[in-house]
Amino acid sequence: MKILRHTDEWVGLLVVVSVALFIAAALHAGVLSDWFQPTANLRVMLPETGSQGLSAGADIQVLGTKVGTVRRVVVDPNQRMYAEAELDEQATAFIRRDSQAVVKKQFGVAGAAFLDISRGTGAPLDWHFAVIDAVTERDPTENIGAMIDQVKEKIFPVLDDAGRAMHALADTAEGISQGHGNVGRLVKDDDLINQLTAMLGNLKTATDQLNATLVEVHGLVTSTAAPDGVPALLRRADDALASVQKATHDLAGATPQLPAITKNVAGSTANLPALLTQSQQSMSELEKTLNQLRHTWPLSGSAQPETRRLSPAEVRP
Amino acid sequence: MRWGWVVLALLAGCSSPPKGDPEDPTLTRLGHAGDIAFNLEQPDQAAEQYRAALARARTRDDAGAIADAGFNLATAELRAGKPRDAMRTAAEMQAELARRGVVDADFALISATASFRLDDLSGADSVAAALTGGKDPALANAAWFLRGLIADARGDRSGLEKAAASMTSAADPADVLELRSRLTHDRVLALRAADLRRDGLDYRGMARALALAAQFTLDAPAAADLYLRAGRSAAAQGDAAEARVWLGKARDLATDAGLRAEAAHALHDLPAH
Repeated sequence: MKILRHTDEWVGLLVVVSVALFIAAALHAGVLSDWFQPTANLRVMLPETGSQGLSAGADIQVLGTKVGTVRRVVVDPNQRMYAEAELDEQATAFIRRDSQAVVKKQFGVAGAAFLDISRGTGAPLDWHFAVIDAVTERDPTENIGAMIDQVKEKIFPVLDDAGRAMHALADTAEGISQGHGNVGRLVKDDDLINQLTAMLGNLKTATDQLNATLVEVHGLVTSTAAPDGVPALLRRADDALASVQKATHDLAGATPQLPAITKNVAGSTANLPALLTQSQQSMSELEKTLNQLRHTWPLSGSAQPETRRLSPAEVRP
Repeated sequence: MRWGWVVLALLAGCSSPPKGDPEDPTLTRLGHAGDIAFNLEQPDQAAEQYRAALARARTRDDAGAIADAGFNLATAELRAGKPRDAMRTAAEMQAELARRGVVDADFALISATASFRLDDLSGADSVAAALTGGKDPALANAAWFLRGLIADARGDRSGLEKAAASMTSAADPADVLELRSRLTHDRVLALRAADLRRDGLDYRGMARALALAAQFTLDAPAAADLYLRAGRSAAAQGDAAEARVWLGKARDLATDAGLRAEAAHALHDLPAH
């Protein structure tokens, strides 16, 4: 019989190897790294309508990336429901005071609920007691229901109008069939049809007369082209143009005198501004003289100087 | 006799024209031209001249001349039936003078009167109320008269009584008579006020007093005649809005076909709105 020696040492070595293997496996699985990873706590105030299926363990996403989990959902009968979340510390840079959490379903209307927190740009949160509000995503079925309501609001009035229009059309057709109105009379009234027939006959007669008139007009144009027609008119026009030519010739004879006349007029008007200025100056001096005379004893030595402002009494309602 | 002429000549030599600030002849001429146009009932031409005078006063940078020309311009605009222009001018002048540290209450009277003409009764009353406590009796009386008209337009009898009682002896007698007429509904007082307005060449006020007398006349044909006279005067002054109201009343009240036709004809001749 073989005696195993150093039994205690072998057992101890086995225990040490087992512990070493366990630690290596844990490190490889990343369990310990999770323990040592720094985290931040965030309290998310859930909407008063409920948590929409949000429960402990639900994911928390920022910009579509999971950054933490919901640790627990607290139902406080005196306050609103809130969820306590644990986040990676590196996500705290994205979550600010104006960030908003939205409770969403994984597949829109179904699936696990998760929290999607929007990226904030406001002041940073106090991460010793960080709180943000959450809202629920609008249920897609609500959108569909609202859309159906809108479609109903638009369609039914159109259908009502179409019904009324059809009713009116039916009434009109019935009225016409019974001979009411102008169109009905036209359809039903034999006298009216006879009158229309007679009118068409008269129209034919009128057309014949118009043809005869056109023949006469043609004859008139032919006679105008005769020697005592248009040629005579042209001769008279020629005479008139000759008279105009003579008048133009006389005008041309007078034209050389125009520059002299213009020069005289220009010379006269050139003095007008100076004349006006002199007149104004003369009037001004005359006014001064009159004013001085007015204030000269014994005419009116006590007269008041002229005021530059109108009297307030001139302001009349 | 000869010594008498010598003494007279010596005394005449002692007199002198009134002393004052050195004047700008151009500014004086423009202001004088404006005064002539204003006195000849040509307010539009007067406004042009006063506007040129205001520009000249600004060239001269003379605060007193700016205030005078601005006041004359606003008064001429008011007389020309342009209360909005007058109010704008008064506001501009008040702001310009305030920058120079000058307060000129005359422009507040312009603002109040223009507001009254534009039917802004509360605005006109608040501005006029600030003037009633002033030291210038003419300005205070004008403000009280305006407040009386405003109170009457609002149907505020106590306000009208207060305004009539606050008019001093220096007030225009026509203003006093008009307010008393409005207070007592006495057509005789209104007609006397119209006479005084006519004598003072205040034809706008005269037309208003005639219409007031018509309002207090119980006899419809007589009232129609007064309304016709008031409406024709207002139409001739270019006040189409008032003329339209008074001529319309004349036409409605007239029992005489001739008077009715005359009122209708005058209404037809008024310019469109």
